[in-house]
Amino acid sequence: MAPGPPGRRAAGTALRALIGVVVVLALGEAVVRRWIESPSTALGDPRYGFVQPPHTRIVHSSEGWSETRTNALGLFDDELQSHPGHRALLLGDSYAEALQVPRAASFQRVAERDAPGWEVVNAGMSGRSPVQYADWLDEWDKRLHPEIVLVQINDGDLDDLTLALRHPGASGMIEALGSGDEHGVRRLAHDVLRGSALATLVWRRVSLLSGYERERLAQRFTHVAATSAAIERHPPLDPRLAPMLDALYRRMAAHGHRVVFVYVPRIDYFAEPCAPVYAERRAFYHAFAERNHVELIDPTEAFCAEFRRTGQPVHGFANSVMGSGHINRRGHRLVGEAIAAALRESAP
Amino acid sequence: MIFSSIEFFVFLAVVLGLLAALPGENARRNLLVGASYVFYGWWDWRFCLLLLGYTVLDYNVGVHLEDETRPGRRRAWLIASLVGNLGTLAVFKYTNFFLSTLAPLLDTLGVHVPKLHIVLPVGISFMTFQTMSYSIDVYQRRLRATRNFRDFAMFAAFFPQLVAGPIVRGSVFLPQLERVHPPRLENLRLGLEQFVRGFAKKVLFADTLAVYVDPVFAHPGAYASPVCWFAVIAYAGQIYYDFSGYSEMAIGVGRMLGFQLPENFRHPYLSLNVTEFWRRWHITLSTWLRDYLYISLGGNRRGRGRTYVNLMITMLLGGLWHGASWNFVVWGGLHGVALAGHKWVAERRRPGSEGRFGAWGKLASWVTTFTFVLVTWVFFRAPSFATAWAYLGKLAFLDAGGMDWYYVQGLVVIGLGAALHVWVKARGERDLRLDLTRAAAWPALAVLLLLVLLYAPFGTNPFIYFQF
Repeated sequence: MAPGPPGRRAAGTALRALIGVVVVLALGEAVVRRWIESPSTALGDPRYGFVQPPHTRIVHSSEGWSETRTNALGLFDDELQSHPGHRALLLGDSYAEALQVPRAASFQRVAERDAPGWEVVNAGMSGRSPVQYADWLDEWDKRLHPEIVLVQINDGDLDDLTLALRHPGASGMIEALGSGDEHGVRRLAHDVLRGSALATLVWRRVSLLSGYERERLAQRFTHVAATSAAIERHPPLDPRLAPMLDALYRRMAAHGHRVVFVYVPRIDYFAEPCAPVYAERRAFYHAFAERNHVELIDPTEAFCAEFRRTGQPVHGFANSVMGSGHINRRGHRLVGEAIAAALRESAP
Repeated sequence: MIFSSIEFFVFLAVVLGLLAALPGENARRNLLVGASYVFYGWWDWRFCLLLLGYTVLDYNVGVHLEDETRPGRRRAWLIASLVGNLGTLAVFKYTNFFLSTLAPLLDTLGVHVPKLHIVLPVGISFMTFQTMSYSIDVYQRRLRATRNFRDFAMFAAFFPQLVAGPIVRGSVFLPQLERVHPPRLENLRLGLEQFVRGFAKKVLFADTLAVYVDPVFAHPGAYASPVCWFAVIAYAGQIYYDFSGYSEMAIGVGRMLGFQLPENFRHPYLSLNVTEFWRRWHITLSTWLRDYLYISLGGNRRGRGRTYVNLMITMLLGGLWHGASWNFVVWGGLHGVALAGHKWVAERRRPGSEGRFGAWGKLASWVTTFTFVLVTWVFFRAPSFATAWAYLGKLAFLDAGGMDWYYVQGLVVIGLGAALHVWVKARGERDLRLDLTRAAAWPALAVLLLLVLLYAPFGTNPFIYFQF
């Protein structure tokens, strides 16, 4: 067959190229949705920032891997037991949310297994800090009637509290997407994009990258140290943090439940000997616990002992940097065992 | 300003736009010289003074070498160039190295030498070799000196290859300055294709592998032996994809501007012996060392023993060129020993006996060569001699325990890199091309773009060879 005129050939090539690109995008959407990232399902809640709707499938792959579903309350937990023996409520951030490990391996589940008769309701949600936990407790206490409240804290929470101190009203929460101000095409585009797992992932990456680039360029032209670099330098703790955390604790304790704080430290596995990365912050939490006569679970020693015994860190995953980031199965097991011990103490 | 950063994309677009818009050839030449200085000054404007210094020195030396007929005077001009170039390099790059090496001796004499705070200008080693080779070529009458200072300034400062090569000879670059065209569509397309290949090598392969390499080389004692093996393989991949990616981006940008820069890598990890490795790895440096150092020392013309000595000197200095550290000297020395060893064996081999062990013999040669290259990379990458020894101990399974970290993305990239090498070998070493005139290239480009967006580690990691 004789080749057609150049214009037609070019049009044919362009059409085949376009079809190819569409096929790539469709396959990309399928792969991402199945194994890498879920579409953006989070809803903007005026009180709590982003929350997940009930019965939503979530795939997590940035550290570890899990495929999970929220329960009827929109929590990363199974459905609530109708007649639990004893019930504990776990408030926390991404460490409690535990998307990095299969749900069965999370410290919440380990605690339930090791403390028979207890149901631990996991209300952990990433990006949150003690600033929100007191509000949450007001809400969840009425619905769940827990006997014990477990408040998971970590070193980064003190940065969130500092942010809330410096910007009162912001409370360190992420501003909810999809505000009511959007209408028409913009709203439609937003909804369509949020329905795509690929678009969600690309958008998230582009946002992170542009934020990083903005910071880098600002540093290049203004010689102002980058925020991330400033945080890495471990600035001294704001003296107003102690009374702030005390006040938040008093609000939680006012419900009349036993409140147990669960500290999840970062560990420097390369130090000799193994030690917490933020010794000052750990000491801050211990001083807080002593001042308020509050129970504090601190697995630092258990983490280091595990590392000495096995040579394996309790932070990090095969698809992220080993020894940093969130706790892995080993870490969850150790934290869960410590929580279970505390729960068993409470059993009548 | 590095090639994989946003500011470089903006810079390149502006340069190409102006190059297309400017009507006269003079204006286009001025633009390219000015743009090259802006590119280099982006790191630190003071570096431009150094670049200008090199340019003035070797331009004038070239003119005098061309005009002068008396051998003594000509030699004196050449020495002036060598002293100026190598002296500057020594001051900026090696002062602290020499002082710290002499420190124990000086301490015994009661002299305490502090560490000096000398900023190492980016790419100074490349710049030095490029301008110095021009003077040597003119001295040896292999090249006519240019009488156009602006042309020479452009040769010395041409931004695509200024900071990390490919090292371009005057005989290759200066003739291309006869005509400086506005950008041509064909050049833009071919340049873009090569730039995209290099960009993918850098951000998808090299930067991903760096995530694995950096922690393991920082604390090799903490990781299990198999992890250390994977990490050194990852480093072999990282440095190859980083540097060959940079070279391809440089060649691509050069092509967009209408210039042809020389090839710098030819699948070095397919080499069956270390001599072949150096014919495929950093080709513009290895040929530079051969032509300007090894042959100047006498090459293989002064007997067998002297040939080996010349090889060793060339590789030791080649190692030192990479960095002011004994690690680099050891790395160069090991390669020198291997090159000499291979030469010794090759000279004793009966003619025609090369392929007598067939495919298995080739496989054994490849495994031996690749393992040797891996082990020597330990010295190249380790931050100190002590760390290098600790790392080698891990590779030897002397203390095999430690963290089990089999970084998924890193292992996938290693596997992909290995598969691509096998495929390229099966294709007769023809590279994969991204031909944008073909419909299939666009979905491939979409896949590449998605992978970069989804998986490239954030942060514009500097190219490894910038430090040299």
